[in-house]
Amino acid sequence: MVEFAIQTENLTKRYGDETAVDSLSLTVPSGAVYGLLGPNGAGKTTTLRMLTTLTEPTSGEATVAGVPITNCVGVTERIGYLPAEPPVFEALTGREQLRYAGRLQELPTDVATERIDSLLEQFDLEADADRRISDYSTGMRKKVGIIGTILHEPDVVFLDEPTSGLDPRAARTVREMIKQLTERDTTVVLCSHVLPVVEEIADVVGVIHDGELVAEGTPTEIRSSANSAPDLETAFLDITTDEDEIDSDADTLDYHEKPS
Amino acid sequence: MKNRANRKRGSTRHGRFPDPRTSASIAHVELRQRIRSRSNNAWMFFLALILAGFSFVVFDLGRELAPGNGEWQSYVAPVFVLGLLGIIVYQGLNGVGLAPTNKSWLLTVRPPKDVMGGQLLFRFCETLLGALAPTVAFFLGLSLTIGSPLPLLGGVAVALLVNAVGTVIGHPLGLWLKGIYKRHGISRKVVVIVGIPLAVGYAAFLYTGGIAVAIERLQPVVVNSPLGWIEDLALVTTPGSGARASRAAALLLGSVVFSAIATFGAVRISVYTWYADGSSQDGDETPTDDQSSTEPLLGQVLRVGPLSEGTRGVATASIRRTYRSGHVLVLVLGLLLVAGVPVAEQIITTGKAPRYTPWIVLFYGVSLAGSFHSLNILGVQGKTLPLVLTARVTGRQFVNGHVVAGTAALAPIATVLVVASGIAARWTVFEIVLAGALSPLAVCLGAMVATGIGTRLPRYRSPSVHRSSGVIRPDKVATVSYSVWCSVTLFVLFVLVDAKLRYALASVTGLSEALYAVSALAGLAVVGLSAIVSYRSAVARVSEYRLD
Repeated sequence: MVEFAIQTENLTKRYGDETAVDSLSLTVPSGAVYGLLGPNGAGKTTTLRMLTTLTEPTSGEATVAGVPITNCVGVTERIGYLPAEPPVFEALTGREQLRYAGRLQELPTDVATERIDSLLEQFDLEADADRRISDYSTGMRKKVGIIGTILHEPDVVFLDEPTSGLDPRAARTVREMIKQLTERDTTVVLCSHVLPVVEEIADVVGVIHDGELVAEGTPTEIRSSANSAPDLETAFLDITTDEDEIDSDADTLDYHEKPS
Repeated sequence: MKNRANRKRGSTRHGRFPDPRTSASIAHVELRQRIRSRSNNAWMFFLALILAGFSFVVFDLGRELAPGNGEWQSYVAPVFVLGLLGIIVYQGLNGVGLAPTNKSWLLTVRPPKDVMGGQLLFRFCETLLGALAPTVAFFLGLSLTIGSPLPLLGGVAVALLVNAVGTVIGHPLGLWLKGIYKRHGISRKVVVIVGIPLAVGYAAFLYTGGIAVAIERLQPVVVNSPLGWIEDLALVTTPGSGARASRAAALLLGSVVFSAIATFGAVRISVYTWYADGSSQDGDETPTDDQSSTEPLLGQVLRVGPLSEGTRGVATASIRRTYRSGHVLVLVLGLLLVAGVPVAEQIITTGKAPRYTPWIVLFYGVSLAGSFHSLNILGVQGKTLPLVLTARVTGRQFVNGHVVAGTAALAPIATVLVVASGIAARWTVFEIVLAGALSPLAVCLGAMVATGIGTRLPRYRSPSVHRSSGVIRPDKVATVSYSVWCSVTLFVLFVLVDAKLRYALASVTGLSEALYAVSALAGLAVVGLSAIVSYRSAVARVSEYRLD
């Protein structure tokens, strides 16, 4: 068992003149839940794409489950990836979609069937499993996507906004599922804007801003580093506020204060 | 890391050649998705009808021929080579325009070799029926003529071979071009501008009897090359055809080897294209100067006059979306080229434009005013429809906005082009002035009528706003209805303006020219009335519109 499920060193991605991720160096211990946070356009998705081998880095190195990300085959057989938009086929039923995912992961049919049934039950999707996905709600699609992502029990799971669009009960199921995964030594990288969820289940949180890792630590450490913020959301806002924004806010304040 | 007993780690993921079982799974699901997709039903039915009709014709042809007659046999190879080229072009277009469903997810589950293998297999299946049906029909006819089913075997073998080779050449070729486009940041508009003449040329080739000419020209070249062995393979099982089995076997073996090598190359190309970075992190095009140069101008035009803020907002958004849409550019340039080719041909031949040119131009302008967005003002909103329905903008402002957009964008262009083409066609000054004055009116009326037709004849009663579906296309009945209205309107205007036409009609029917002029005026009033009724109908429909 490797000590770190994910290790990156100066991982950089540029699109022309635009730097999406700048010299990202981070480590994620095996079996941990790593909350990857950042404002829109900060570089989270690009980081996930590099770690899942969908995009080649411009420079730097990284390993996932002990395998360099340049080894596409080696990485992809050890990971599960749920994009923000669940990857499903509209014309298939939920069960057909999951059987397909199982086949692509080379799961024996009996094992796949058993796991699919169990996860469908866990996610309260059994009754609708044989309906076409085109008739599913956003939350049901998300559930199918999540089941397909963890079906083959990968070593590292990348979840991009897994609780968005879910009702509170389903969101709780996802949180419990993530905890169960970590009990089985699965590492979870969680990208989410629902910060209370991240605060509840993440062991380590990394904050990316303008392509750089600007803060990393346990939720408690992150809060402490941000002037002892009362919660992760306040800390996040504090950490990701640009200096020029602060200046701008100060100018605005000055302007309003002048008359008095 | 955990050691999972049930994971056959690396069993089929490694290697350079697609895993057949996984590729079959991917192709199977893509096919199932395609077959179950309801939106394809009408199109599939239409294609099946064409295929059935064509197969019937070649079946008859097969019944009339007899083996051993070298004349027709020498055309077997050129016909199949032309079919091969057709499949290469079709698959190439697929390679450029289509990607595997859920590609990003697939690539985190399987290596590109398997995803590409699945794609090739799926694409092979997609064109299989088209390749097999006419071939089987022809060789069935031949079999019935000679009283033996054996000819079918050779025919089926060639159809499979042509389809396979066409797929493994065409699809990767298209994908490679797409890779170049992505990696070198070539503008989408450049692709459209290059692609349209090619597409028009291809259409002209098909509709001007180019196929027969091509077969004639290909015949000596093909027959004297290894491609001529296609004839041997196709007829090797036909008794009395004189086909050589050695050539047939060599062709079969060579094609298998070639397909294997091409598949290997396709995998390399898939990596080149699928892992290409776009011009930005999300693949969105960055705004370019040409977008900013036109839009402020239109924005300023829309600020003139007593337009409400809501109407102006809807109109501006409509113009922006249309201007930035590649599909609209295809429509605009495509129609222009189709209509422009015969006119240009006559100008070159006779030194003047045909007399009907201004009417073609105006018909084009009025048609575009409708298809701009006006014919589909609800469907074109896509997932943003709830925003429109819950906004302060009224139904009238919403409809007005689309009418204004169509008119503001097209009326000036149509008017200038109608006047210019009237001069080129040597119309009288009176005719030119009258047609020029009526042009903006016709465009505006067209946009008004289109809004009514489109809202009363939607493609779906209520568009889905919950899913990732984008814009909904206009309904076919609505499109045809609007085209009929355009034709009638243009005919009325033609009769009103063109004295020569009135004279010709009067000569044929024996009625007076004055009667035609008065009738045309009355017709124009009816056209105007229809526009008002249609416009009011659209306003009422949008005002009371609720989602299902």
